[in-house]
Amino acid sequence: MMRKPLVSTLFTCLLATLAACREDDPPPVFVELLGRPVALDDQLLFTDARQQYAYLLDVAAAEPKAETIRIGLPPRAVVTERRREHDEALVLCSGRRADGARDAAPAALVRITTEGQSHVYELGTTPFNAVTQSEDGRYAIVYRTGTTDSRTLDNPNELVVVDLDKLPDAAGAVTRKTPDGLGHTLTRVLVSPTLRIAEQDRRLLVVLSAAEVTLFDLTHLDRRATIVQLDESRQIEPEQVVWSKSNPTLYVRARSSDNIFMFRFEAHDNDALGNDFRPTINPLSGGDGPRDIALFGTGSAERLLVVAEQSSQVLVIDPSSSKTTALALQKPAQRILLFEGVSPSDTRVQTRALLYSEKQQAITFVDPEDLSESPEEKLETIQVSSPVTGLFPLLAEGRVMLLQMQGVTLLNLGERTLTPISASAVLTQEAPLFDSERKRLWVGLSQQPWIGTLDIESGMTDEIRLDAAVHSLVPLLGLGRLAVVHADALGYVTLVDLERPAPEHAISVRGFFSSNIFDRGRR
Amino acid sequence: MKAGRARFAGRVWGAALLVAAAYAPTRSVDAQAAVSGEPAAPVPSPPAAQTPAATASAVAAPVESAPAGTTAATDAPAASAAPGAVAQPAAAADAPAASAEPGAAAQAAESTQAPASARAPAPRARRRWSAADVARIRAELAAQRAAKAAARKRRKPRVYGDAGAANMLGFELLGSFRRDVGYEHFERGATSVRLGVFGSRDVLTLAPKLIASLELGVGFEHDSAKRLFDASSGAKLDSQTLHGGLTLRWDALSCVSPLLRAWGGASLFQLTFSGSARDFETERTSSRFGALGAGFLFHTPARTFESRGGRFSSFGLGVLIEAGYAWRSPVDFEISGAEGRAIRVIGPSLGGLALSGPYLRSAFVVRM
Repeated sequence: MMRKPLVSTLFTCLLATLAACREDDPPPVFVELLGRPVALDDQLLFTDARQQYAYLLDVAAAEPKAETIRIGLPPRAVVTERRREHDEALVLCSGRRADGARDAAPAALVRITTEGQSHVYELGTTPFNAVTQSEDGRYAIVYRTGTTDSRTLDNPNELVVVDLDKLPDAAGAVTRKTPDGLGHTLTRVLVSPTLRIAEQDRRLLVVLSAAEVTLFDLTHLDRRATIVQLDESRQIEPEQVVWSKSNPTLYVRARSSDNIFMFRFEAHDNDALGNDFRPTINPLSGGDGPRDIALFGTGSAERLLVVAEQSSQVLVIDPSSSKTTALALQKPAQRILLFEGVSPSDTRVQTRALLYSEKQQAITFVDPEDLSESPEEKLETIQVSSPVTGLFPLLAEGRVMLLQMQGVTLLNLGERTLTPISASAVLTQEAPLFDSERKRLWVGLSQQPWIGTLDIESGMTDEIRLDAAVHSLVPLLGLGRLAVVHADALGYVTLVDLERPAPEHAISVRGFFSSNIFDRGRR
Repeated sequence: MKAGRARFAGRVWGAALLVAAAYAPTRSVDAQAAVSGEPAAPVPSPPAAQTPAATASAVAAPVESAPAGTTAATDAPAASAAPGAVAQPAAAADAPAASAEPGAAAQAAESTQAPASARAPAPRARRRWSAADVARIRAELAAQRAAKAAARKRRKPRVYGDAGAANMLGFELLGSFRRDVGYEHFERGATSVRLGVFGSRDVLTLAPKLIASLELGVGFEHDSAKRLFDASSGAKLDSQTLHGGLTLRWDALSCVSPLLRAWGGASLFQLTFSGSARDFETERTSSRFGALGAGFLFHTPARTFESRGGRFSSFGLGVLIEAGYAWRSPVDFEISGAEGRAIRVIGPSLGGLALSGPYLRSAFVVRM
């Protein structure tokens, strides 16, 4: 009589145990790529914009394994890029506010090594969303652009200087700075090359705001900023800074000013908390509506080239004397591309400039050196088949690829000949990749499964059909490969052999975001 | 049941007839005495040939024992009715002699032909039972008993079969407790349920109640992950397991047998993808295992279902409950690229699933 209750009890216990042991669904692996992956020497770093992970895929082997090193990140990755002059990657995360379910997480800059180690530099509660680096990759300047309503109160001019050569917990690794007395919101931050100022090599942190240029000495971050007000009456919106290669001088162009502001630096006696140098500002006339500036020449022969759109002029300015030579253009120009080379009428290799404007079919060559002599001979205007939308320089090859509304045009800078190439879609500036070793240009159009090639020397084109649509192209020139990233939630990359660009010599790696999925969380 | 009832009724009737036969002479005498008003006196039974009516009324009728009565009955309708029932009407018809006197049959026949009103009480005939009659009747009764005993002996006797249930067939539900984090991707989470069937046979009696048996079985397991990689990609995990084992069973009680089991085998696993990952494929991967378990077999007592002929003596039903621990080699899943692509695809390793862990086994078993 006892048998039946006993058996039923045991079965009930079994079923109850099975039911109680069910777990909630784990988070999915789905990866939403943040931009194009960062190419390191032998690896690709993919950053998930939605979840707090980055994935490091090794692509150096002939047959790479579809395995990634998964790296945890703070919340909300917004920028990912390679650290300059280093085989490392940087990921900026803007952090998270506290809510009912989760604690607040500070913004952080993560430095990721090729071994998958991550060094997290905590930046505070400000939701930073932009980063700029010094040329040598030692300093990363983190700041915020645009408006945000993601915090109750925050200072839009706060910025953080991160010394990436130091570990996160080292003294001086993270320095938070706010320019005292800056009347406008910063718009852009730059780091100068090394300049010899007041008998000391320094790098300046240059902050652009609506009417000011603010200077920090990166060598002495404990000192106050030097704020230069460019115009007392209006907001002139400085937007471009050019550094002199031979002098401790910089030039600032503003969107709403006809002046080009030349900054020179001299020693200055100051208190301990102030900079020991000060800038002197020399405004140079940049014509009517200067849109681009460039420096050419060295030493005392350094000149400033300016294109003024509204006056349809090109100007050559001697900064030392402010002497200006202006030439009228047939068509106004907005951009300058300097190059060294010859011209059809002059076999001397010297600095020359290509002037162009978006949405214009005219491009102009100018020889800025000795512009005062026979100025008409210094200009040459060429009409192209359709308006130019961008320009992809191939200066080492003496060529430029003009990106147009319809197709592209290969322009020989020396011969000034045009080779029109039709394209199935409008190419953006980011679309082409150039393999300088093999003189071959690669183009991949988003959402299409083909990548096209253009042999620069012969003008021959070819294409390869891939097994999935293209998301982005990443050059791995050191490995002799081109990484074609496909839009696949599980991770999908096709590695094209640049020496033998054919499907049979390519290899795809797929599903690497899910690698070792069963092992995750195992101690 | 009908046959049983018939047998039972036959036995009752037989017993009644035997009793009636045993006491028939006395009762006949009593009946005559009652009719005649004289005290009854035991007298020997007359010879059957001479007293056909008496044969019909007292012997109650084994037909073969009264051959002469046939003629008498023909001549005397009253005596041709059922035995016993004849004697009374005959007596009621004031023809006792028809059943009492030797040679009274003719008289009785005659008297029946006379009008009832003209009938006069017949002179009471004195019965005469010779020793030969008695001996003959007794011999007949003995013969009847012997015939009945022979009939009983012809029926099949109850047979007891072998109650030792050497074979067992079971349908099992095996729940494994999985502690590996990889299983968190699957629906069942930390548990797995395997359905299986097994058979075992007792091969050795180590002690009077200690039995060693060998077991062989197969099992099937299924699990799924609706969102293994993302919201639109799932996977199914299927396995087939073949196992063998050695069980020591102690038949401690008639319905409970504790047991120890050492078993092992191998499983084949296959991961099949669906949704956005449907063109991924995995090769089958195997895992070997060994396990130790202990439990109880609750079963019906021996001979519960045994028939009269001894069949199903070893048949029994039971429920097996066992707990133990299984040591399994982990399984690794490699994804291969989809076929039919122009560019060769290298797939990832999904990692391994550790399978070792405790288990709970329950089974419905049939012993035979």
